Amino acid sequence: MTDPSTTGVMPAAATASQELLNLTKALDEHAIVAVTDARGRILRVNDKFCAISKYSRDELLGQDHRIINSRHHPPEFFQGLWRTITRGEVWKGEICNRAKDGALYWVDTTIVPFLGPDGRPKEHIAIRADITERKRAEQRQAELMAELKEINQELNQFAYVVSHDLKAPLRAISSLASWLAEDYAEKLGPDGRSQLGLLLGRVKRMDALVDGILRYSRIGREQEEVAAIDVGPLLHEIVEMLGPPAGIRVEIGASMPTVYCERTRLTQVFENLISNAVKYMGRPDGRIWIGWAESPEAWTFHVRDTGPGIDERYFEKIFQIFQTLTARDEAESTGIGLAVVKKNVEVCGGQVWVESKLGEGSTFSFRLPKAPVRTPKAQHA
Amino acid sequence: MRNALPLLLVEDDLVDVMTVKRALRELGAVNPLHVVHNGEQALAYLQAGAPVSPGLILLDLNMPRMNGLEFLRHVKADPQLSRIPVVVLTTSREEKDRLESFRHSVAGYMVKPVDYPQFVEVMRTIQAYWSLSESAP
Repeated sequence: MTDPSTTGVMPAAATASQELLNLTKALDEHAIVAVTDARGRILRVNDKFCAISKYSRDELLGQDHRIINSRHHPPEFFQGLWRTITRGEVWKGEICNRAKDGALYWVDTTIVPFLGPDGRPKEHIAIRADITERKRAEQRQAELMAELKEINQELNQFAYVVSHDLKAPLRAISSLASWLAEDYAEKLGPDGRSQLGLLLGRVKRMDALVDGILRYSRIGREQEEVAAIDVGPLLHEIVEMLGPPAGIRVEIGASMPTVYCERTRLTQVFENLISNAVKYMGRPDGRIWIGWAESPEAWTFHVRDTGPGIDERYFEKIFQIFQTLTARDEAESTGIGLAVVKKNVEVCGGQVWVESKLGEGSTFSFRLPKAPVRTPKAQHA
Repeated sequence: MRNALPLLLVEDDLVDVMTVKRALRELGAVNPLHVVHNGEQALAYLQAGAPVSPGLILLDLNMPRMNGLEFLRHVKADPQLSRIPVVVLTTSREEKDRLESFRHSVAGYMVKPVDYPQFVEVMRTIQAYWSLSESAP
C-alpha cells in the first residue's frame, strides 16, 4: 500500500481526522465553498458563501444555485458545466453571480463531482474565489482599449482630412500661380513675377507642413523591424545627405556603438537634430560634435553645436509641435522637426532633452533604452 | 491618346478640371474630353449611352453626392461599363483608398501632385500608357 502522505497534504491514519478539520478550517478561511447534491441543491455552504451572496444559511440550504444566477451567462454556459460534472469530470471557469441585494460578483470556480457506488455523481463540491475586483479591472481595461482605438481611428480620420482637404485647395493655388507666371510673364513685370515666386514658395511651405503633420501622425502608428544599426556609418550617411555648408564642420565621435532600434526612427532623430544644428548655427562657420555614452541599461547620444544657444525658458516649448523660435522667413521651418524627434524617441521608451546657454551653443541629448534580449549582444558592449 | 477615343473626367474641383485640360493640351492630346462633377452624373452619362463610349475614365475619389469608390462599385457591377478602364486621380495617399480602388479593378491609381509641372508628368505617363495599350472592344 502506498503511504497516503506522499500523494497529498494528508498525513497517515492517526492524525488524519484532526488534519482534515484543520484543512477544512484553512479552506473556509480562503475560499467560498458549497456542497450540493447530484441535482445541484445546496446541502452545505461556508460563511464566506453567505457573506458574498448576502443570503443567510437558512435561505440557501435546499435551494439550487439558480438563486444566485445573474443571467449574465447564456443557458449553454450552464448546460456545458452540467455536461462536464455529470460525466464525473472537474469543471473550472469564471461565473458571474447575483447577491441577494442585486449586486453582481465574479467567482473563479472549481466544481468537483464525487461519484456514488453506482458510478453516478452523488454530490458536488464547489470551491470559489472572489475575482470581482479583477473582473472590474479587466472591464475597465477593455473600455480604455476601446476608447483608445476610437481615438486612434479619429486620428487616422484627421490625418486623412488634413491630407485631402488642405492639399486640394493648395494644389489649385499652386496651379493657378504657375499659369499666371507662365501666361502673363510679360504683363506682370519683375515685381509681379517675384511676388508670384513668393506665393509659390509659400505654397511649397504649406505643402511641407501638411506632409509634416501626416508624418508626425504616422510615427506612433507605423512599426518597423528592430535591427542592429551601426551608428557610425548611419551618421556619415546622414551628414552626407544633409550636405552642410563648407564652413560648418561635423565631427562624429570615434567608435560609435551598434544599437538595436528601428532604422527609420533613429535616422529621423539624428537627421532632425543635425539639420537643426546646421540650420540655426546663425553663422557661416561652426562646429557640431556627435558623441555618445553607455550605461548597462541605455545608450545616450549627444549632438552639440556652437550655435547661438537657447534660453532656458524655451527648453520645453521647442519640443512641442509647430513651435519655432525664429520667424519662418529667417529660417524655413515647419516647427515639426523636434516634435518628430521627441515622439520617435518616446516610442522607443527613451527621453530627449536639451542643455544650453545663450551664446554658448546647445547640446541635444537622447537616451535610448537597450532593447530586451531578443537580439544578440551589442558589439561594443 | 489611343484612337482619339473620348475621355470622361469625373472631377468636382474646377481648378483640377482646368489642370487636366491644360495638361492634355500641353501634351497635344486631341481626344474629346467630357467632364462631369460627381459619380451620379458620371453614371447617368454612361447609362444614357453616349454615341462613342469613353476609352478611359479619369476618376477623382472625394466628391459630393456619389464619391469615386461608390461610382466604381456601380460601374464594375455593370457588364457593359466594367470594360472601360478607370484611372483614379486623387489627393488621397490613404492605403484604404488605394486597396479599395484596386479591389474594384482600377487600371491605375495616381496621386495628384501639388506642383503643376509634376501634374503634367503624371498625365504624360497616363497618355503614354494608353497610346500603347489595346482596349476591350
